[in-house]
Amino acid sequence: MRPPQSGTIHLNQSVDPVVSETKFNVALSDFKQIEAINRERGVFLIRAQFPDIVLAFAAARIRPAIIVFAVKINFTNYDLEAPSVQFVDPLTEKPLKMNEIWSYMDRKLPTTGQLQTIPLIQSHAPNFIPFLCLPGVREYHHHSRHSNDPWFNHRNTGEGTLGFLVDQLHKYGTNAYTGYGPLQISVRRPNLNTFEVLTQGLKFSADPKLLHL
Amino acid sequence: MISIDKQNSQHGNAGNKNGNKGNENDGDGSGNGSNGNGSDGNGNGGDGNSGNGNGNNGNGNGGNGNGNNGNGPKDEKKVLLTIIVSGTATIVEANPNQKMRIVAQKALEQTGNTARPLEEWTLKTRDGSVLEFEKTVEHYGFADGAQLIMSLSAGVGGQY
Repeated sequence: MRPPQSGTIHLNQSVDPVVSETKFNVALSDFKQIEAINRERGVFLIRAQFPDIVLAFAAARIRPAIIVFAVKINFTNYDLEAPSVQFVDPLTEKPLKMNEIWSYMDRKLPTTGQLQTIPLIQSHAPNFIPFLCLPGVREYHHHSRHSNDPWFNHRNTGEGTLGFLVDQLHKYGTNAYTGYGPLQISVRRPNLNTFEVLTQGLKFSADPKLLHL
Repeated sequence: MISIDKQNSQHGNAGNKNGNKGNENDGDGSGNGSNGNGSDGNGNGGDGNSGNGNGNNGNGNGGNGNGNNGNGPKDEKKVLLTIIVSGTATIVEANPNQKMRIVAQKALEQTGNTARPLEEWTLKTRDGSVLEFEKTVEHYGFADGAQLIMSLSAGVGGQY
């Protein structure tokens, strides 16, 4: 059995490209039809050219609005294959590693008592490339841990469409964020009269009421 | 009027029964068709033509109880809701008395999203407030052109 791999699954187009591109164009057209609503909830179209759509996700409840993450959604072989979701830098489209991600897309667990969450963005050795661990996403279905849950169990059920992915990325990725602050704070006192406060990193704070199961 | 869902049909049946009852009472107004035309399921309520009991219209003529509730004119103006189902916009004509469940189901059907049950969908306003399926359109006070968002619950994930 091959070891689990995390990260983006790249494919060569083997489906008739006209089929995949037509479905890509329909999805893109639907997105553009409600572009104002998407922008209102912090979802911006950066670029779209078959087979890729690059979207940025901002925390719409925070001012100034901050881009929390961006994704490149790839529709190669769509929809014989599920679309791929790759986390990229919103300015350069450079693929990111896990330590360059600021949101882990926390999902509420159905527990009583204390709030518990699980991150939908996962990564692991050897490459620590983040991927969205969710049915309807190519990286999920190609992962050896999910060989018992193939894409064909989900195809044509509403999962794995552009609209579905946008909804989930917004719902778990940015919607609950209401503020942010430094990830780490350190205080140094170089002499008796001086304090130095150093901050490092960034951490978003979520309103627990806005977290979803 | 155009029927847009099963709920109207249910109302129609109720109207028919009440209509018959009205006939028994010699059309004294106590037997009002509550809200609909039982013969074809068309919502025929609130035609606003009378505030009086209208037993004559509910005369057991094969379910033709006129949906007159006897409470005077009632605004039954339908509203057009734009519902975005997993990113695809569709327009649903809704009766104020309809439950959001009916409206949501119609939106799913119009966008071809019938593979998953309604319970796996969430209906929200644009500002993110979750709407209850058992409440009516009127309860939320939606005006023509209101935009709602439906999203599908995600499957089990987060455990590679």
